[in-house]
Amino acid sequence: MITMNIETLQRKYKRGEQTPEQTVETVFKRINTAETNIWISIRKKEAVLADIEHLSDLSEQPLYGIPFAIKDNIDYTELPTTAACPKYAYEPNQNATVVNKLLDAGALLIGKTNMDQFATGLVGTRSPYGICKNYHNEEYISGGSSSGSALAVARGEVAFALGTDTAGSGRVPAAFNSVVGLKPSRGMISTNGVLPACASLDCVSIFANSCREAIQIESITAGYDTNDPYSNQLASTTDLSIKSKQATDHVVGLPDSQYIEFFGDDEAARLYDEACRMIKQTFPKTQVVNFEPFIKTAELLYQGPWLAERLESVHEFVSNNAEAVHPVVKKILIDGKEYSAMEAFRGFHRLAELKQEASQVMEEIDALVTPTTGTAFTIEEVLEKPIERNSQLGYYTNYVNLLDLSAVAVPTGRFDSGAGFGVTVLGSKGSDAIVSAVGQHIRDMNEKEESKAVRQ
Amino acid sequence: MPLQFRRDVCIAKYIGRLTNPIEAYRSEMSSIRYDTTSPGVVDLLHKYRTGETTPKEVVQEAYYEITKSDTNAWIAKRDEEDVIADAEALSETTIDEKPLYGIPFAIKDNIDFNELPTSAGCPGYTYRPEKTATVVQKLIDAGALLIGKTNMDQFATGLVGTRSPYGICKNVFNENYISGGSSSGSAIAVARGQVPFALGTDTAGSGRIPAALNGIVGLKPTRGVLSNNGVVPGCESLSCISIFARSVDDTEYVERIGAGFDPDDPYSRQSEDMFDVSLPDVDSIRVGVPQESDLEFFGNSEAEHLFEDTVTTISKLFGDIKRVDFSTFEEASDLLYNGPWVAERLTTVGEFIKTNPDDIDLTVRGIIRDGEMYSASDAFEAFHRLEELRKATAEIFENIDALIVPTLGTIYTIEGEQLNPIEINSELGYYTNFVNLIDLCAISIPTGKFDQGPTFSISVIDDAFDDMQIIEIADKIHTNISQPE
Repeated sequence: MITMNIETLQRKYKRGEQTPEQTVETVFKRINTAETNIWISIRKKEAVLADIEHLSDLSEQPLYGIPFAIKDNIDYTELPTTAACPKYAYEPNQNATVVNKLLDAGALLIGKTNMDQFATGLVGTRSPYGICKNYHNEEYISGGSSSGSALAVARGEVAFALGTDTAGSGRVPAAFNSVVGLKPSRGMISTNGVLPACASLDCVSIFANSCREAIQIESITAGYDTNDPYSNQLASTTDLSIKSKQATDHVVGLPDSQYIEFFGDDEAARLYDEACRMIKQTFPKTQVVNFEPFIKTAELLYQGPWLAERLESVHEFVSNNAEAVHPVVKKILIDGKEYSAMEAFRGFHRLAELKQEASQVMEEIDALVTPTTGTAFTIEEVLEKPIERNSQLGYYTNYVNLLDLSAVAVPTGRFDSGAGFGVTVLGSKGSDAIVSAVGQHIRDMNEKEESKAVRQ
Repeated sequence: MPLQFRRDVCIAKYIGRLTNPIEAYRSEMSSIRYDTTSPGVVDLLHKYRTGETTPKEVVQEAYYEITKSDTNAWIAKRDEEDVIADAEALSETTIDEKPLYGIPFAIKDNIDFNELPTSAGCPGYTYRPEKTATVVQKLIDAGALLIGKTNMDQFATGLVGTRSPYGICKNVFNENYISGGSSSGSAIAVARGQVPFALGTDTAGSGRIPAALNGIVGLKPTRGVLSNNGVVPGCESLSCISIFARSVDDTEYVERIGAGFDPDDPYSRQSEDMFDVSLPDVDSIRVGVPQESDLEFFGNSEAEHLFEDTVTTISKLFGDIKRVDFSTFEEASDLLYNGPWVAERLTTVGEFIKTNPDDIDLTVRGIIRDGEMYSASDAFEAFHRLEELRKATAEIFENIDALIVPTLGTIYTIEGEQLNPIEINSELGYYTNFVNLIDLCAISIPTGKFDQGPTFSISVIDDAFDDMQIIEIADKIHTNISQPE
């Protein structure tokens, strides 16, 4: 059995115990799209094997021979970009900046993954390429919109995958399928070559098996890009290396209970309590903080003018090809037309106020830990109330990009149904390495407890 | 871009750090060159220290000056007795404790002061503020004496000075010409020597245009450095409090005292580090001006010559001047009045305009109501474009330490402006509109004079938080240019 994570592969390559060719063979053996709906397009095995011939060596290429996937709203010249809308598909004439950086680092691109159409959704059910099912229990949703990328990592088909994250698309599917989902600070990784959902908020996100690996991918791909208007210089001034020894020195904030919400799901409440208990035991400096500004901000994203920003990038296409668009996605996008510029400015002013309040909270702490989702839904439940349940899924994720925070989703437990439960570690802009260190520590402690439980 | 080097004259040390700050200040700043016989802020502090005059006498003079000329500069004044009482109360403190000890000042009537109503140039809109604006309170706490509130283009919508039911503000050098706006009254009060400094606000150029036409200095600080709490904004996300004075150093002196993060203003920013920079050696400063094909004087060849003369002087000071592509700035300017930012004005006064359409200046009403045409989708499209333009201008600022442009390309008579208000307003903003959108700081200084009287001025512009650098450059130019008569 080949373990498909970056660190194991790197170790095996170094010791000569395994070759990238063997890894690629395993990848293609594991892929079973007919059953999983994970992939929208896959490169030919021969093409990937041919890439290996052009690799230099381990010492020069930090991701030498590491297989990865990208969400199908990220450009790669050999494959079309569909954004999960077949009629929208186009042949990109350039790779996305982030993809080029990974290829230059020696990573092997396997293919492009399924997603909620136009990255509009947190569910994984809004795609003509099929519903993505939860890795642990097929009756449950995978979460989205980066559903295929999360599943490809969960199933060990690739060692890491790129998603995108506007409202939580890089974190919700990580939680449900028990992988790590890192959403870097906005502007850290270039979005050049990524089809925007909300251009001012979108981030490229990273799915991996550990926070340590995820931040490694970020440090390789981060960088100022003049081709991305929202790129910033943060990458050149930010230290992205984890100092794991200091993880427990960080002051960890936990939200006051008033705004904690589990939508009647007592099991989720228990799983969160367990995570909090473990965190309080592990981190000597924890404190309860005011969660109100965060939740108030979340309400702005799906109930405010940012819906119009979603419409902006696909406006013409949706107007001319209404029949080609998923009905729920269409409804959400069309709603964006309702808003006036004045309402947009009102939204910005409200956001500026909330940002000020949230930054006062963040000043007191190094990281804030919240649930990633307040509950888990079956596919049937989501199809029954697609919009309401989607917005419940975003309760702990929607505000993150609006408030310009960094975040990593870490698995901490499982529902009785099997679906994954996890927490998200949040930090101020630029504290990507801190949230990763805290997240990694939570994961390590969790795995220790799990193995203890297994031994008992 | 900020460079590394020491500025010998750092005004920080005059604020309560030296035994005799004003003396030290004067010895280094030998030439306070701006016109008028009335003293500036620093002059006045010196006179108080030497006992040449007292705050009470200065206040009495100010009221005498204000009463004797009928300029439409003021909308509301405090009772002279109240101000004198404040002046007398200062005797319990010292200049060392109060860096604006006994300095009279004025504020534009869209800034709150709890003893007077705020009208924003619209009598029907007038309200009684419960609290004084954060910046005004800071100045008062520093010993400054507020005289009153000044006339303005209604709702700060205009760069002209003619759009007010409280009367048209006329140019101080020639009554047939516009004063510029929207902070018209504040500029005039300073230009006439009624007060040594005044606050305005600046969204599209309202803190620079009226300074430029009336022979004084107008500083538009980096957005968020001076709190907007207690200000009726033009565009909430763009507007800044601006400072008018008769010398560059006076504007800096006031900015340092008025600055500071304010949790009550959502757009406030941390700026402590901004004042403690070491500034570039003057010899190493790289100055850029728009390439000649991008310069616009709207047919005014006199303005063109005045700018050429200024550029000659500047090149003597700073060496080679880089010619930069101005089209990116121009495109950003166009977004402000011909784009969705007009809709931002609706968030402040939209409701009032709907219910009280007859209370509004016709031109102002027309401009603001145009905001209703824009959708949220238009707004986001414009934001994305602006973000691209910001990236492009950032590259331009990589290669220069300051951009120097005319503050305005020509001058207008009041009659001419009334005939063609919208077109003239957008001409007026050609060199000013882009500054807040791109997030820059700017200072306007006079460098010449039109035959008809109004002054010709330039603006020194740089990245956000480079306020000390533009001030240094402006001061250098200013002290080296022959002062307009």
